[in-house]
Amino acid sequence: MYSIGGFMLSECRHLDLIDKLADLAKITLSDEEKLNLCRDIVRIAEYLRAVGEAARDLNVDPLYYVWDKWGFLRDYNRDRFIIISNLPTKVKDGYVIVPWRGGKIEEG
Amino acid sequence: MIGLEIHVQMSEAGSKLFCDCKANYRGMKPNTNVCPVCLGLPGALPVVNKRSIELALLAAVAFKCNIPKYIVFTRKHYFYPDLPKNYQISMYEKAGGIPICRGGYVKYLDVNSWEWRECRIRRINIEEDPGRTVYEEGGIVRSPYALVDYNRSGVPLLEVITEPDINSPREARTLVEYILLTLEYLGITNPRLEGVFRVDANISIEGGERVEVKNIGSTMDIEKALNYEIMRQAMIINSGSKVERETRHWDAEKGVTRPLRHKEYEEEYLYFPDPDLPPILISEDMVTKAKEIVLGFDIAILYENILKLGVPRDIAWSIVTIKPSLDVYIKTVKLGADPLVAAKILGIDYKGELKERNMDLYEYNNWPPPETVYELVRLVVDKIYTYDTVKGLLIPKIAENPKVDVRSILPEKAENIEDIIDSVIREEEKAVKDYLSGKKQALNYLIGMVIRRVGKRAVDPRVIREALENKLSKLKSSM
Amino acid sequence: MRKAKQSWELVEDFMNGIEDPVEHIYKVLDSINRWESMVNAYISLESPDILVEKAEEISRRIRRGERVGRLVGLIVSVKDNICTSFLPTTAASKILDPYIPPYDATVVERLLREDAIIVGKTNLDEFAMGSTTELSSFGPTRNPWDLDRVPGGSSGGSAASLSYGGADLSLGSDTGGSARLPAAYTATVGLKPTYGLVSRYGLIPYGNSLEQISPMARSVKDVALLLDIIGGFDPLDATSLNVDSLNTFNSIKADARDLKICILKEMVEGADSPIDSMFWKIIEKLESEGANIEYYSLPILSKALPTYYTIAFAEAASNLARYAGIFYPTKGSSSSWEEYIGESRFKGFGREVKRRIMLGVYALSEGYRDEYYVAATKVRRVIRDEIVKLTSKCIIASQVSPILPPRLGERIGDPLKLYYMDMYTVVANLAGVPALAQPIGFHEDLPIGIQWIGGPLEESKLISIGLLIEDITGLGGVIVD
Repeated sequence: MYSIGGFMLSECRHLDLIDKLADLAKITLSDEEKLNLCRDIVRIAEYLRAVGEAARDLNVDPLYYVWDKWGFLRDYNRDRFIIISNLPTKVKDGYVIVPWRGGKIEEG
Repeated sequence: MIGLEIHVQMSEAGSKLFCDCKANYRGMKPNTNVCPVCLGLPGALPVVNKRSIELALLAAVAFKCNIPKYIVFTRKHYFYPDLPKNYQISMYEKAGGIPICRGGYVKYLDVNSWEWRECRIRRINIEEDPGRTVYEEGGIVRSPYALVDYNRSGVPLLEVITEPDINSPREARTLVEYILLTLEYLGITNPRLEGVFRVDANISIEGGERVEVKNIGSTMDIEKALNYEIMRQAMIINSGSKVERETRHWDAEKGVTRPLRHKEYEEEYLYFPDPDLPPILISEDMVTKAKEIVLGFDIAILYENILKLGVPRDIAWSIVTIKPSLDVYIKTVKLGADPLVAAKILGIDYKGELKERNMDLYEYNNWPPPETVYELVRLVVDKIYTYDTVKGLLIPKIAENPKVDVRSILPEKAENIEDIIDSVIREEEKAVKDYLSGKKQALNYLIGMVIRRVGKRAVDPRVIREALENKLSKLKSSM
Repeated sequence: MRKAKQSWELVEDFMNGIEDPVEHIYKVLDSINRWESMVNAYISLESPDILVEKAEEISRRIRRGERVGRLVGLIVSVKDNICTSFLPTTAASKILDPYIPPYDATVVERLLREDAIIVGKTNLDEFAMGSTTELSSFGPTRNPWDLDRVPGGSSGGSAASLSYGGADLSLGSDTGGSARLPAAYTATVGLKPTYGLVSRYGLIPYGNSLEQISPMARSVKDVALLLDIIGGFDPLDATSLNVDSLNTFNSIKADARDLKICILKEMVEGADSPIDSMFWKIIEKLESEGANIEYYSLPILSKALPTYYTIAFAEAASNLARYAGIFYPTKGSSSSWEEYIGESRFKGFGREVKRRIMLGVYALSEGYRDEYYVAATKVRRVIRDEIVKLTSKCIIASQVSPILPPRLGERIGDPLKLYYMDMYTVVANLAGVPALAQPIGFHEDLPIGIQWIGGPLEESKLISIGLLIEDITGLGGVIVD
């Protein structure tokens, strides 16, 4: 488990946390970027801790949908088919093609 | 101890779970059944379709579930090419999700022992299917590119999770077949569509660790894969080692399970309730309606009703497993036909005829209307034709054209068989001699020869046998 | 500064032949030519030829006596996180540059149905994540009132386009104050509707349990006109409320003697003194005219800002997971799947966006979920209950911004400094209730605004009080010269 404490000034002792978050978020970070983000993220996470503390004394359910109403169920509305080759995506024989292990896609 | 996770597409739901694209995409060219919602384009929003919920509710009622007052969808995040939003909308209880079924059971028929067994259901979730990824040379391990077809993305899935109450691979197969049949009868899915269901199995033997086997795509493979696993695990135990807890992949082609790549850490899916989808109320009204429908399509009741008519178990079950044949059967019996004869025709011989001709057993149009079957039954019961005649001459003609008017295809009855019998006796000297010298089997040969000469006309073999026996004994006494 | 004719009056003049839609579009294009190179309110503009053609067509139809829509001839700018199939929609991000949606947002369809002329897509902080419109990958937008200062964010482009006359009406979006803060900084009017009143189908999501597409204009009555058109049930949005038709446009100006106003300590203290004095001046004026003012304190509101950001970060992380270089333009050059998407997202997202995504991942991950995300949803429930209870008795008067419009670069160096700008606005998003921001004065030529918060679906009440304030301040229709 990763613990967050204090405000780091020039270096960041939580680089492995940053690595884990970047991996989960699937964003490849440069080393410089990692350091920049590390400082800020640690500070902001610390700031957000106030919420956890405030919630401890509250005896309520979480609120996920702001109105206590039921969602509606829908009947068929209208066809909204789209043509996939109109999107900025590479297509081969009708399939969307992405690099998997070794294939290259030109940028653009 | 075996537990199953069965994913079944609600192929008969009409549209996908959250948009108006088609729920059954087979036969469509790749990426032609897509819209902003099922492609997860920015700004597109999911809205739950009524039909999917109604159908899922039928399943929950059929499996005697604890049905919640409302259901909640959650997001499950992971990155994969076939998951356009890089999250799947499903129902994860530990993060605030609420599934359509929170515990129930299936009572299913074990067709080997004809006993009813029970298997508890832990949960039934509704979720969306991802798209389909195809790999080029090198397969999933080495293909340079991945090719994705999103026609399937967003198709509504029922995920049925059982408790590990199953005791053998055969039972597992039977259970899944029963569940699929139930869902078929409820109008939720068509089990014969390609890829419409897949099964993940959890198996542990002798109190050892649990192994998960993924990617089982047919009921036959359920048995094969589990038998393989039992054998593999037994070998490990016999050699003195312990079975590891792991996830394995069933390779249907090679008939083996393979280990999947080992993850360094637990999967982190960042579950939380989907903010775009408020909870959906499952009203008492909806449940009552569902209960009515389920009662009308309960295969256990339908099966029992046929048994009550005196029909043997295997024939009764044969009728039930093919919905069109059950429909025709019930109506035929309602018209007043003899239930046993009707059962034999539909459950055995007509079905066999379709099979021989490689015709689709599940296609309604391949079965004759109840009036036709009623007529066939009447012909037999009133002794106008023998059952064999009906089976041999009429059933094939009907299979060719199920809508045909029976009266137009009635075979000519062979009236004058005396002459034919006489000529056969005259010509088949050796057989006659054999019979008269005591070889009783020669009579069958002679009967055969008479039938052959009678041709396409209807004749009762017993009548021929009687006549031959008479004539031959007269011959004997005159010798 | 001068006052421009209000848009609803313009429509009447078009219909009566007093004004000509073609002349009008030329005027607007003229303003755009004069201001755009300095202000940068727009990311993309429709071609002038097409715009003039549309205006000509409208002119013809009016002269022929044909039925025309309620927004006929009005020039509308649309924030670039709202999907248009006829103009690129980028959310001010490289990862969507260029991206042309294959469909129109529901609100855009409704605008077009009422014969509005959509002139272009306005600049915003990338993915609406910001409070100054400096975090756009297309460069910052500047405040027409003072080009060294920000117009607020994230709907800064929309607000700026209105305040220099580059549009008559605008669609912004408001997740934590993104339509109200820019309104306060540019002396325009912004309304965040009740959650679910306006369809989000076609709004590129950031905090989807918090945000609403927001009508923005130079006057209160114009905002009401726009709201009535875009609001109402949409079967394509499951969070859309079952409201058939709206008529906030005909709301009657409030009488001070009928007003019950409440002021929450936490929603007014902490602002710079020029803002503070202007706020109290208005309150005193209302009180002197007979309004009933009551004072309350809700200590839980001190947790509103971190609560909001926790939820917003979590939802952002989820909503932005889809941008992985498959359907969207920015692609990596790697040839292995994980690296390819990692690179796409690294190149495509700005730093603030990356920060928020990673914090969102943190707040949702196993072991932290309860302490961060779930905790925030619990505090949110308490805030919502309190605010809904309070607004059933009175309208809440509040500050919009603790500071005057800052200079470019002042707030974006430190994320927490940036977040503090939202301290008064996030409450309405957490509670789902409607909130209106309108100008009440200037301090050294910099606009100052006030915020009114009502109960669920009480937009008419907000319009009523807005009209009264406009009467008092005389600032309806104000525009930079």
